[in-house]
Amino acid sequence: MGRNSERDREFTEFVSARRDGLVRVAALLVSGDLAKAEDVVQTALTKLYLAWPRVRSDTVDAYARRCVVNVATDEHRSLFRRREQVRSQLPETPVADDAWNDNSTVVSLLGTLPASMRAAVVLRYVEGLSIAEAADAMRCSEGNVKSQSARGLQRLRELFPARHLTNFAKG
Amino acid sequence: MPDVMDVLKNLPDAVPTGHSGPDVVAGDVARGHRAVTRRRWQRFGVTGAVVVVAAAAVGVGTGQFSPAPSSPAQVVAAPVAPRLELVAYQGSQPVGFEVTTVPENWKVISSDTSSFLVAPPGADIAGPKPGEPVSFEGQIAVSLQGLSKFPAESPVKKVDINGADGRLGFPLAEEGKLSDTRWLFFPDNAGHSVQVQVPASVGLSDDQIVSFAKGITVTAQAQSIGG
Repeated sequence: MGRNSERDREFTEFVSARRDGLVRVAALLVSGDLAKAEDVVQTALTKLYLAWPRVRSDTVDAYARRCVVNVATDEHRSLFRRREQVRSQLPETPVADDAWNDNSTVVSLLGTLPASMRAAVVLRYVEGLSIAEAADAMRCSEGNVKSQSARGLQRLRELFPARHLTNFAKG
Repeated sequence: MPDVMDVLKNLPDAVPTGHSGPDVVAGDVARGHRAVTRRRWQRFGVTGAVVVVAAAAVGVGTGQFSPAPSSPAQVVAAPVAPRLELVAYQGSQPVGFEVTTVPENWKVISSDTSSFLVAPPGADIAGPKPGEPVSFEGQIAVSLQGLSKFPAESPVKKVDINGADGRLGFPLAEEGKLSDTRWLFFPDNAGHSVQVQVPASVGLSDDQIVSFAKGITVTAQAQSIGG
């Protein structure tokens, strides 16, 4: 494999073990769009490869997660700049009735949250990270993670029953 | 109706993650390789080959080069070594490129599908260390052109490379100042645009750079590093 064989071997082992998890986090951060999530993870892993010689083995998971959050946030911002749409009400997300379920509803609702609030909710309540770990991934204070995750959860609870009832009304 | 918190906890099992087989992981590694190579070239663009700022006039080499667009750029000069002779290259050929001549006693110290480096005798011929940026200072580098292009300040000299039009000029050493490193761009028979980078300290004349370039063959394995 050449001069970079050791680096490549370690990186390959890490990516093989962790890639699915990173794609899952990215998908939740970009409203469930798997193609976009794949782009985010590819970019994040490239950044990780560049930094690999400097990243300690005990912090590589946190570093990779931070890369994914950063890239996903940047992706959201760039898309927002390109495609900003001002609406008085939240957009409806068309979902086929037979495919509809609570999971897809929550994923759609996550997409309505601001990027940092969404990241806090995903990292705390989906990935089960501690406040300190989430703060490290988001590169913000622990207090910010607490407030963002709490407000995000509250927003989801406010929106979730309405969606649920709306769908039953359609049926 | 389930609570939102319960749904969130179950999402890891519900969100698809696509395909992450060995081919996908290999793609991640390949992107990493390309990023490392790009970074090396970018670092060179900022720091490479700048040795002595001599505030030489814009007209250095104007007897050979066509005039550049009006600009305040200055050429950064480096100490020039004695002229070298090109001799037949006897060593193993690089992966992405093949060469027929090199400066006498010089060695190919690094080669992959994106570039190869030729270093003078006495240089650190161990080659770049894994993960470390490569310094091209004092070495000849050959690659596909990628995104490199002459700055507007550079004079450009047209030369003949095996019947094709080559262009010799200078990159920028810093804002407003041209490096004394020379770049040669030329197309090969397969349509690749090849880039040869020669620091002034190497001591090759324009004609010798052209002769060196005439002996370069791009193989099917060569890849652009210009993004």
